[in-house]
Amino acid sequence: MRGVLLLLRRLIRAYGQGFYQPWQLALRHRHLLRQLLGRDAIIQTAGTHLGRLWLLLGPGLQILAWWFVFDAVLRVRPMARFSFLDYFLPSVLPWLLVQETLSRCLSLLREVRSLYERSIFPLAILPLLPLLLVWMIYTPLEAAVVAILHGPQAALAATGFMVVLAWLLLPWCYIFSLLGIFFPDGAYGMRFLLTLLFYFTPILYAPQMLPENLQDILAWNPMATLLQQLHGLIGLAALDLHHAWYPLACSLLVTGPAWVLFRRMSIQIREAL
Amino acid sequence: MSPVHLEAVCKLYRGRQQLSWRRLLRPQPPDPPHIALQDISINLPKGNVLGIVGRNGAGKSTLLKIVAGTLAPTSGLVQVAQPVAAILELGSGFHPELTGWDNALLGLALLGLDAGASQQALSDIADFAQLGSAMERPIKTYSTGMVVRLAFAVTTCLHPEVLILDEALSVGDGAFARRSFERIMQFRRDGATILFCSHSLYHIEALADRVIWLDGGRIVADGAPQHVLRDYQHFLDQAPETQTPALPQAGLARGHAALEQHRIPARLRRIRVNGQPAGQAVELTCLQSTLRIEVDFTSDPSLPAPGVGFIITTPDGRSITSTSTIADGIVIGRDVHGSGTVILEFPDLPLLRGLYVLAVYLLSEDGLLVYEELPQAAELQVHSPGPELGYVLLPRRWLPLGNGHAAPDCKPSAHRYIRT
Repeated sequence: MRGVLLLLRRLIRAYGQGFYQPWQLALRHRHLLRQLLGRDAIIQTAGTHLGRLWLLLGPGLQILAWWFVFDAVLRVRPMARFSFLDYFLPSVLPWLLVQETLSRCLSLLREVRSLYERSIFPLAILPLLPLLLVWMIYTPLEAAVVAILHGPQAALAATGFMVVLAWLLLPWCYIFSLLGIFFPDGAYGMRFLLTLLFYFTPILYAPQMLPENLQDILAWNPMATLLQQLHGLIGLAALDLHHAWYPLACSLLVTGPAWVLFRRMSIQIREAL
Repeated sequence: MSPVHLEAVCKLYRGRQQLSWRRLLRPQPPDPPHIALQDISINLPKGNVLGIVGRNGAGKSTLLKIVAGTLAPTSGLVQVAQPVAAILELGSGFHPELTGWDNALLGLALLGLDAGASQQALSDIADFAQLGSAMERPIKTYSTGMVVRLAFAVTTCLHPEVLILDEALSVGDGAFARRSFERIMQFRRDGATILFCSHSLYHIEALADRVIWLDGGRIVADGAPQHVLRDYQHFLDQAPETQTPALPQAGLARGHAALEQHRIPARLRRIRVNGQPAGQAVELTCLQSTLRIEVDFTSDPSLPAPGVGFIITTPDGRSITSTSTIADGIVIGRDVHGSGTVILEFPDLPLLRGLYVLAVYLLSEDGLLVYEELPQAAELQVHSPGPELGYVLLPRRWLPLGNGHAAPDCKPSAHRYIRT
């Protein structure tokens, strides 16, 4: 009984730390984070004529390709009341936040090894780096797109949604970063799963367009449930908060373990490379 | 509390245990762990300089990394006063696409400086590194020397409580090497506690207050430099592996123009050994020949006159003898341009038969910084008519023999070897 209580206490402490310590660390090292974000943006677009504009143009062209295929060619109409772009654009930007952040986390610790391998470095701020960089690109974009398509009130709701999404994504950033270092084969598998998850998330289509038996699969996809909430917030569909617990639980359950695991593995991360 | 306190520190590198499909399908025992450090206890008072010696793989760098905080010990206690400056690998966090300013800013952020303090430190860094407008360019356009200058300037811009140096007593070349060395010496004078490892026993003896000899991750000896280094040198002499001096790469005779262009404190111009140019073999006879070495150099006249040092080694790197103008208290005269010549003679050369290598060094006035070296200034092919073994002939005296005839003193002079 005493052992169980001890375990419970440690778990509660771990979850408590997982909630606030990454952000506390980010605040303490805000100047370093700012430098790292600038460094990252420059490196990603180094050698190009348009420079940091590519951070926007890259996903912009991807979105253009999807629009062309699904709207201009296939004439997909997810919702009768709204155009393809009304539905697609507010949905795809949060997805890109998730996909780009997690994909980058898989390779992050290897990419920036020169930063921490032989110098004193607060390793635990690194998984925040792709999350913040991508969030800073897509959140204003999402707000602007929703403001144009659905009005300023919806834009405010969409911004709040992006904040919550980043918070929910953080523990997964730590887990994906560790995966990339200690289980690189698994990292490739995760990239495949992310692609699969994209097609099983109602971004290019509405849930009701799927056959009924396949619609049940969407219930297991936390991103699908999250987008359902977003659609409710910006007026694309009726707001249904009954299923909001599921994505929250998916993230909150791993918050404590992810943070504690990453902190404990910090030494092994340096040595693994 | 002392600035560096280590108690029973152990470091174990576990075998590779990365998950892979092959390991999942066919489980294999993990690779055996490697013990990098074992039971290391060090208590270093403020202002002390600790030299660490040991062969490659002895654990020197691991120990320095643990003190620096880039590695954590597997067990044991580590207490190190802050701030720590560690020169483990210069420029390791730099990115080639970023400008000198951006890399310096990131380096300062890594040192914990906020935006305001960074701006102040940046001007010091630019002054010290003397990169001028190159700071605006991506460092991929820099030469290696420029990157090193910037990295050193960033790493040492704060006054550290503890300074850790991994084979980096001075960096860069020419004038910057001298300035970087002076900065480290300034830290020492200001009372910083310094830990450094080096393969240069000369530097360790000259700088360290205390020396630790590591082997196989354990402390073999810990104490005064002269005692520890004597034992370590003896150990190296017994070791089977040999060190071959590098062949000379740099040409000589670069003169004043090179000094001006590269701001080099001093440069070798010409070396002649028994009248022959550097790099050639010289034939000598034991106790009959005179070895005459002439060294011409140029130097910055605003700096103190440099010193010149010579080492004679066997081809596998064992030192036979060495001397320098500094050790012998000779002050070299120079002309107004800073040029000078040193001539050293070994009359009746007492080396026994064999092949030897002569190395020439141009040193700073205190002998701690090597401005330029020619590791293979000449190959000395020594012949000796007698059957004696070894490297040198020592002055000697035979004690009176049984029939009462005392043997005269035997100085190793030429006539003793002319047998009739």
